[in-house]
Amino acid sequence: MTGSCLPPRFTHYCAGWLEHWRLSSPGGADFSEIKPEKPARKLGYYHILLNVGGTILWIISLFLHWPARTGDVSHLPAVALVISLAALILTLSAAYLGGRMVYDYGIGVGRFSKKKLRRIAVESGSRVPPEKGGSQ
Amino acid sequence: MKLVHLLQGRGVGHPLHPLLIHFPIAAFVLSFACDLFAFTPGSGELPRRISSLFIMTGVGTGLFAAVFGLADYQSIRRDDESRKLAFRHAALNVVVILLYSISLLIRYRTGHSDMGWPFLVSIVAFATLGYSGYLGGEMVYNRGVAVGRHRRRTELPSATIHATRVAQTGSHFAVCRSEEIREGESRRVDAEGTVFVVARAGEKLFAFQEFCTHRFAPLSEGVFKSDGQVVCPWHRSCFEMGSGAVKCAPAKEPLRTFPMRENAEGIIEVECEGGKKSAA
Repeated sequence: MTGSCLPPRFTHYCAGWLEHWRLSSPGGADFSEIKPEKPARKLGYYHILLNVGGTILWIISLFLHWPARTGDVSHLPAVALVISLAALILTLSAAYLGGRMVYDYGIGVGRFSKKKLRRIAVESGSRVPPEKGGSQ
Repeated sequence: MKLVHLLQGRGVGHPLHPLLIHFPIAAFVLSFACDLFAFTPGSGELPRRISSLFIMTGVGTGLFAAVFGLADYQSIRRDDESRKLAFRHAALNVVVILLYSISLLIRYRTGHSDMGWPFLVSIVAFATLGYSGYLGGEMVYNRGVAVGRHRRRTELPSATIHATRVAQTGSHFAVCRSEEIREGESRRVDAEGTVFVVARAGEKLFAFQEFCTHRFAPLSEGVFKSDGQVVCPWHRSCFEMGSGAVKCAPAKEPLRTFPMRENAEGIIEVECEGGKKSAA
């Protein structure tokens, strides 16, 4: 197999799969920051489950796409496309939940800027918690 | 709902711009990967052509995402430092789109035979995109731009009111006319350095500190419920606006509240010491 004989469709497919992994890998570290009793934790679980489900489906679909790498799409089973579609739906749903976690529940927001914001709050006459308190 | 609110994604629970930018970023990353692949011996012209397709996709989806980004820009308070950051982010993204367009132009003009200059221009664009993306992350994760905005049903304060002392020796500051603040609305006020919120909920007016006691989110951008509670836009801490008491976590420390009155002309006067340097 050489690069030049890979048809664009298959190349796009593999590249998309790699892109999916690029986006999903740092999530575990953020998830560990959410306290177990928080509602966002449940959302986080669903986010992970959908991503894992999506990844498994992408792997299955890649496996089914493999015969088409030479450009001969006659061996491409229709189920490969159905699985790709299902994987896409799961991935997009996971992405939506990821957005909800940040923009609706504020996961990761203000985590690294706390000191700076605290200083601004103090300077502007706001009451602030003791130095070590107020963690999420 | 106004068009700008639709573009801000208020109906779907989070802003649309951060969702849409994944498409141009993915396209530009893949274009970069194809360019690298094009330098391997025997790779032929195909990866170069695929790279151009990815650049086209990136430019197209990037311009589409920019429309939603402009709508988000509208919601940032005029005197907020984040507005400058957002402007820089937008300007850099314009540079990115221009550079990728130049790279694309060279690729097609040379029939994909010359990869030196287009690749170099793409690398500069890619690095600029990385820095611009970092600024976008800074806005969301460190400054909370657009976080919790969709829960608010009224307009966010467009600018801070710099309140003036009622009498030279007095401790009351004139804010604005009472009727200017409608139900569920708020004003962010700076009284000689002391920053507080004046909000109306359940037909009553309240004055309390601007910054949440959890992670110091701007409470002037929160939600004011008719039962007299304010919900923090970032992590949903609830406080009683009258007493400042915490009604729900994660905040533990109560808010500072300010006594207020309405004078005969209907102007809100808030009592505070002031006199500190102006807060950001």
